[in-house]
Amino acid sequence: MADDVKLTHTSALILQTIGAGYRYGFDVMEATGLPSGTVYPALRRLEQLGLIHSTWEKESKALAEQRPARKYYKLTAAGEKTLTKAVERYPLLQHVKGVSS
Amino acid sequence: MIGPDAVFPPTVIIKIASLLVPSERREEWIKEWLAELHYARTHAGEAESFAFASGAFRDAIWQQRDFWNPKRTRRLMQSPWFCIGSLTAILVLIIVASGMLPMTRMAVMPLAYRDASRIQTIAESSTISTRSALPGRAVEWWRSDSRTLDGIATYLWESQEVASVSEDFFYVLGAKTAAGHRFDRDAFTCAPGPGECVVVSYDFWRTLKGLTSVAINGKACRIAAVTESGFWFLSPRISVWRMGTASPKTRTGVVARLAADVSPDDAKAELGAILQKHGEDGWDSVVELTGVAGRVRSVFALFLTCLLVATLILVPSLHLRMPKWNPAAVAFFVAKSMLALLAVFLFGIEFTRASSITMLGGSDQFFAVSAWLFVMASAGVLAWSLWDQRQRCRVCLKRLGMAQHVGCSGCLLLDWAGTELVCVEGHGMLHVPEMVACWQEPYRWTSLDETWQELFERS
Repeated sequence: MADDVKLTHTSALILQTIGAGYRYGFDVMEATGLPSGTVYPALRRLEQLGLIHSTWEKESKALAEQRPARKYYKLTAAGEKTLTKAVERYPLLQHVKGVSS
Repeated sequence: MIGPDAVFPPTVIIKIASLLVPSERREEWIKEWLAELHYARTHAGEAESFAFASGAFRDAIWQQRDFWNPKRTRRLMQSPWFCIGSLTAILVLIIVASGMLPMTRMAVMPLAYRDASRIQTIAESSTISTRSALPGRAVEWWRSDSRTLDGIATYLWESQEVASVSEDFFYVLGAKTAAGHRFDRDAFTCAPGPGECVVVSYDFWRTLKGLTSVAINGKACRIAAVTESGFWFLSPRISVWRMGTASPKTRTGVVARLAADVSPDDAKAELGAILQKHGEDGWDSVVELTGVAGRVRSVFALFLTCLLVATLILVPSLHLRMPKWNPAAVAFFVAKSMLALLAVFLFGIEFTRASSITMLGGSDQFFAVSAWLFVMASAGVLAWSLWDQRQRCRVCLKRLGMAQHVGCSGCLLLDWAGTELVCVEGHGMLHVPEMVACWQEPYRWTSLDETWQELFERS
């Protein structure tokens, strides 16, 4: 299914941001400049499509650093393929400062 | 100046937004958003955290939209709670659309008369209906001769909104004006003709916005008095009362106030004797007294009677071999049926002529039509309730699905042998034959044991 996915420019941008190593929702917001109301629903959709995968970090690690545990996102294999196609479709993506993978 | 972030702290915004998230996902959703809020505060500052938290609503709405896919929606609609919820929603709709059940409240609330239990309508009992009007001459005889009545007045419906009543009508009822004074016997003379005046209901008077006259049949009539709020007599729709004395030959509705300590039977005997004294005999001298309070509430008795008739109609269609129901199924059936019947009753009393035939003093044909409608609607509701129950799983009460024809097409009088339905949770299977034999249970339920469970997706 993931092979056939055609992403919007915003979704592709978020996917590329995650591919570039920004693994948390707020980090993606900061890197792309998109508001939280756009980024988080997009993350849900990308995860639903199987392009990214979310995991909770270990509570013990977060507790040791006196902060709440975060949910982080990683590209899946299907996500990497889709990102490649998305970059071909939106060539300007690779020139976006700071989020080039 | 206090900003919105001071009124609604970001954590509160996230908690409020979480109410939109389906309960199954809510805990994890809140955890992620609060964790991210922590970082938004650390990196972007307190001011930006409000804007960040505001985005939670869009995410929550997305969660809701994503959650309710067609499959899940179908599952929800199969649940017994959806059925109960839908019926409750219909009831609420009826309550709101009717303006908080004015007719029902009128039937239940005490009547705005002095000693309302002594107010009786009088009618001939020689006809099928005891609601027939009486000749005006009988009223004159009773007015002059009766010792068991404290007062007697006449009424006649001219239209749905206008009634013609005798001038002592309000005095006999012991009604009050909007100012709180009791009507006197000779408070005003408003006979039809030039200078005619009328009494109007309080609610109607409010709509006139200060006008002192009202047009009846194109003729301006002075408003002589306004009844107190909540006053009505038999028909809540009547808002204008014209003053008129019934002629001896015309037939009119009669209402009377019994003297203190006089029973309706005593009054009935005396009124009959007075008629006989004036030459009326046989059936013409037999009258019936009906308490107005009881007559108003007769709509409840009518509905219960219709419900009984509807039940009797349905009983022969039930097969003796009914499936065994567990206590939850019985409770669901009772709740569902009660809600549906209540909806029928309230709709009937609020929106149809049902009320105008019983408590509202309408004509007899409306009484019959409404009684018939009550019977049909009650029978329909009970039949639906039973049919719905049979189409539900005997264990979890969810509606059965995945209907499949079984047998071969055309083998049984050009039709299939039957239909099989399966519980979506895998509790069992229902076989519904196309042709029902008298010795056979029409619906055959087959329980599926645990070994079948893996074939079904658990919700």
